[in-house]
Amino acid sequence: MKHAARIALQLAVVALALYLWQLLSSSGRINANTYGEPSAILSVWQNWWGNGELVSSTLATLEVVVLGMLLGTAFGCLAGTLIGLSALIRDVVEPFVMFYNGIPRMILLPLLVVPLGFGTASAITLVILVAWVIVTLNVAAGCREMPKDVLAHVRILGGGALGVARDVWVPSVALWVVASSRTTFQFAFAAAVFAEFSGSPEGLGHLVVVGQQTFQVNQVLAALLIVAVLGAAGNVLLDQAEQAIGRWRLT
Amino acid sequence: MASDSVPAPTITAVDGGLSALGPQLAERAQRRRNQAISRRVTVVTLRIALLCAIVGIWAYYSSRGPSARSVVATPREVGSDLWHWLSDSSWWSDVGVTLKETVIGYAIGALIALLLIGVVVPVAAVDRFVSPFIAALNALPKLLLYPLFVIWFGLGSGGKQLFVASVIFPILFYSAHAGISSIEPHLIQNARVLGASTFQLVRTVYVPAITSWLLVSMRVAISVSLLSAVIAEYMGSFSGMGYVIANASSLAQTDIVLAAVIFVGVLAAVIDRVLALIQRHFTSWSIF
Repeated sequence: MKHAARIALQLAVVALALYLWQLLSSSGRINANTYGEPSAILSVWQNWWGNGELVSSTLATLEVVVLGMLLGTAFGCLAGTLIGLSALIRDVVEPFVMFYNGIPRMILLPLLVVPLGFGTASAITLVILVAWVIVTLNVAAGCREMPKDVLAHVRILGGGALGVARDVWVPSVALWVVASSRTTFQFAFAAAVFAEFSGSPEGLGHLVVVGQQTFQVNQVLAALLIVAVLGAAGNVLLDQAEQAIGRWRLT
Repeated sequence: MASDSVPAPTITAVDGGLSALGPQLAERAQRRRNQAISRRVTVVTLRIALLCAIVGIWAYYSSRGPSARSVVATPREVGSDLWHWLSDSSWWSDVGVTLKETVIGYAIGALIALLLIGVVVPVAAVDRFVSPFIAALNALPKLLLYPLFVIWFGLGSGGKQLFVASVIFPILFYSAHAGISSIEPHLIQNARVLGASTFQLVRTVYVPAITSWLLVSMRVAISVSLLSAVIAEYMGSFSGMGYVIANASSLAQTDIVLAAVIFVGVLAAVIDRVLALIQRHFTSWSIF
């Protein structure tokens, strides 16, 4: 089946599913209070757009995700470089890092809420705590696998420590960070939404919780769909970034 | 090497002097063994030192006052909580609830993934058609689906199991898919040349390949399942380790929260090690 025809068929399937959903809901065949109704979801969106809730919630969630990811990546690069460059540090620290990777890091939120309260500060801190270790593991792997021949060339050409850092370390680390950024984003996004589910007073997760507690499934679905779109958009963006940087890959 | 004190061997014997090299080589090997042992000792000592440092900083910080204690609790409290839990049957029943959700959720997710693989992979056109939908499901932060599961299935164990299944289904689907794609084509061709029917082909080529890939992905999938089950329980349930954490957090019992988090971490590490042993036993035959 040709490419364009297949995409058209996929879109048709989605459209058909939406149509059936609307039909079953509005005619009462399935319980609209349990499964929602596309038309009701649309009106929820319109409502949120009108009173500015949509924009402010989306921005709040995005702020948490982006800031958390950036800071987490920064800490991760630092820790990962230390671990990657020194075999001794790596051997000593490895069980601790693996253990930290194995605990449900999102559950650290209750510990953060006591000093920082429910809100952006604790949400961003949670995202940092969740995302930091992923970046660390990837940067450590990147530092271990710095291309030895390029390293040798830089040294031969008189690069010194600064030259090595600029021409070997930065590209290596950047490559691994971008390559792992999709995974980091998924974890960071899940952590941000989790923080908002658990009591933040703003953001898309908060809208979901409000909808759940008032048994308005359309509100829940409306907020979920926006989050899904955000997640997909982030994924696509980072995929493009990974492909752009991948062109510079040496191996 | 500068530290060599063994004199250079002179070649006078019939075997070309190799026997004279014997002691030199043995000494070098012994030196390497000693270095390896001393390295190992250094690493273990530093690890213990790091652990003591962490606990020490923790104890110091928590002694600064009640507000600090409400954030991190004292090591002694957390330690005694963990110690008491080892003989506490109500804690172990909570652990059992979480583990049951993990295992059943994994089984459901695996079943659905395998069924879908059986339907999707044989026909390449169906595979190409379905893959964007599965990729979309994979890109979604699965945590998002949890409120829907609560509305549809309530806060009981069943809903948690389905949630766990939904989290790991994409992982297992892609893993099995990669397993099938990695089968060497000549194995399939050889089997057909030898007259294998489709059923025999499935039984002797596809199933072992999928099984080995599923075993490899089982470790990751089970640990993801466990964490998903705990998080789902934390967000609303009546039993299980996540429920204990949520309950303790609402009562500001930070020591129980930390103790439970550490317990889950240790449990995940133990399960991972056991699965690694099982995996090594079952995949020792594979050549790819």
